[in-house]
This record gives sequence, structure tokens and C-alpha cells, in this order.
Amino acid sequence: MLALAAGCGGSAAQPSAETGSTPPSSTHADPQRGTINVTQRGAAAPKTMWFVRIESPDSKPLAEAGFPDRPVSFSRDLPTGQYRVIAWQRPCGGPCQAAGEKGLGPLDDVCGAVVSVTSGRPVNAVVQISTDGGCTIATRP
Amino acid sequence: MTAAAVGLPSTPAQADHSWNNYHWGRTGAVQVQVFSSVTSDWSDELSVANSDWNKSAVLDNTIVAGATDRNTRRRCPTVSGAVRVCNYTYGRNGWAGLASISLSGGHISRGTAKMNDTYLAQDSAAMRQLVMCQEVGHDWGLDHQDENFNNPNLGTCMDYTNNPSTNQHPNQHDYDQLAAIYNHSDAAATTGKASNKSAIRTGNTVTIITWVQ
Repeated sequence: MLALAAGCGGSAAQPSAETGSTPPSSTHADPQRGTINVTQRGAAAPKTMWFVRIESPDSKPLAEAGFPDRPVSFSRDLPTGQYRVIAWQRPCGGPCQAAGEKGLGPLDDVCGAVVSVTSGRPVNAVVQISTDGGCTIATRP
Repeated sequence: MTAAAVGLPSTPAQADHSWNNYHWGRTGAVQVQVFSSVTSDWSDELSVANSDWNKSAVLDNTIVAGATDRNTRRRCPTVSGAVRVCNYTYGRNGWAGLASISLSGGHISRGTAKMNDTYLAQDSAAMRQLVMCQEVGHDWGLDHQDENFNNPNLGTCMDYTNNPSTNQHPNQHDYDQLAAIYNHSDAAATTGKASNKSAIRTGNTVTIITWVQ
């Protein structure tokens, strides 16, 4: 099967594992920028890998990461405005890998929410994973 | 499904909403089975949508009965060479409809369309028809004509709107775009516009998401 060029604007970014970090909570110094913190609530099912993406208002991917072996923890500094946070999960045929398609199954569940980035306070987007593997994204200022 | 497209004179371009030029490989019209894995309250919408799309000269698809148990509708498994349409309470995940296509040999080889009853079960008949028509339209390789919810309706289900009354069916622009997508030889395929919406690539599958407004 041929590899597919991404249908969305820009090339398909291979998800890269973020290094684990505690999302920053300090006030942003630049009044034109703010921070999105994405975290997880609920346990991921065994042998599944969650991905997170932040998109611009016109659906261009701005940042994306996969979390093969740890909870979602993702933070981005962005110009103020509205963005969409998307999360999805894929099953892993074997050990979930940080990069590449090996062993990864099709998209199983996906959820998204619009978040507003303002200066002064980070916005927290929580990926709430349900017991059936579905998800909802809840945002908190 | 890997039949080569027949080379035909190209249709003058007046629309440009192909979904990245994804299309089914075929000889003659696209003749795909559309597996209905929807509950009875969605049967009419699917039937109408399929009839609407079959008004295109390049589509001649047939609805066939599929499994409608909860597990099948939840998972909405793909069928090689076919499309499956499902409805389920997929949850408060932010999307009303989801269309996925898989590709093989440069062509769409299978597709799914999901209707999220968490939002749509209580929505208007017009909105339900719009979403059904739109998601199935994606499976044929169409993108949206417009993504502004607040501008005047274009009279097509491939147009985002808060008032679906006049956007429940394809319009001539869609049929023209389908003709442009499918009336070509593979060697002379044109490049459609890059999709301007949430699309997730997983391996050789691309999923396009219709978010709840």
C-alpha cells in the first residue's frame, strides 16, 4: 500500500513523543501570546497510544505529539486567539512506539474542542478518557 | 478496488473542492456497495443521500444491508472495496460526523461515514440530512465548498451552515467537481486543493472530521 500524502494543509507530521514535563503555569510575559496545556484524565487502555494535535482556526496542524508510554502532557506557547485541540487514540499491535507507523492500528477514537488562548493565564485542556476508550476534551481557564 | 480510471476529456474546472484528489479507481462509473449499518431512524437519510449522489454521472452506488448491532455501529469496520455508514452515540467528543478513507494503489479502497447520535439524535431532520450527505460525499472524494457557518448557504450539503434547510443535498457544483475528479486518466490526474479542515492521517487512512459548531 502506498504511503499517502496528508490531505490537510502541509505534510503529515510524524508524531513525536514529547519529553515529559509539567505544564508551566506562570503568567506569560508577552501580552500577545499565551499557553495551552494539555493533560489527561482517565487511564488509557492497554496497548493504545494517544496523540494530541493543536490546530489553527483554519485547521492547519501547529503541533502534534504521540504518547506511547505515558499520559498526555503537552504544552504550547501560541499567539492569542482560538485554536482547536484534538486527541485521538490508536491501538498498538505490540509495544507502542514513539515514532513511525510500525504496529499502529487505525484511528479508533477522536475528540476535539476549541480553546481560546489569552495572555495572562494558561488555558488547560484536559483529555478525559472514558472506560470505553472514547474521549472528551474539557477546557479550563 | 484497483480498476484503472478510463481516460476521458477533462471537465472545465469551475469547482475546486476535491478532497486532495482522492478518488476511487474504476472503469466507468464508481459502483460501490454502501453497507448500511445504521438504525432505522437513519435509513431515510442514507437512502436520500445515496440517491442524491447517484445523480452524478460518475456515481452508481448501491445500498446493501449491513450489520446494525451496537458493536458494529460503534466500531464501524471497513469493508474492502466498499463504504460503510454507521450511527452511534460516539460521545461528547466534539464531532457530529466523521468520514474515513483508506487508500491503496493511489485510489480510495474503502471508506466509512459515522453519524454521532450524541449530537444528531435530537437535531433537526435537515441537519441530519446535511451531515449524512456530507460525510458520504467525503467518501467519494469531495471536500467542503465552504467552511463558514455564518455566510449565506450555497445550497449544498458540502457547505457548513447553522441553517441546514437549503443545504441538505448536493448541488451542481458538487456534480461538476465529481466529474472533474473522475473524468481523467490516472496519468493526467489534476491536483485538488489542499484540504482546509481537520484531517488525521493514520497509515494509509485519512479521517476528515466535521466538528460540532
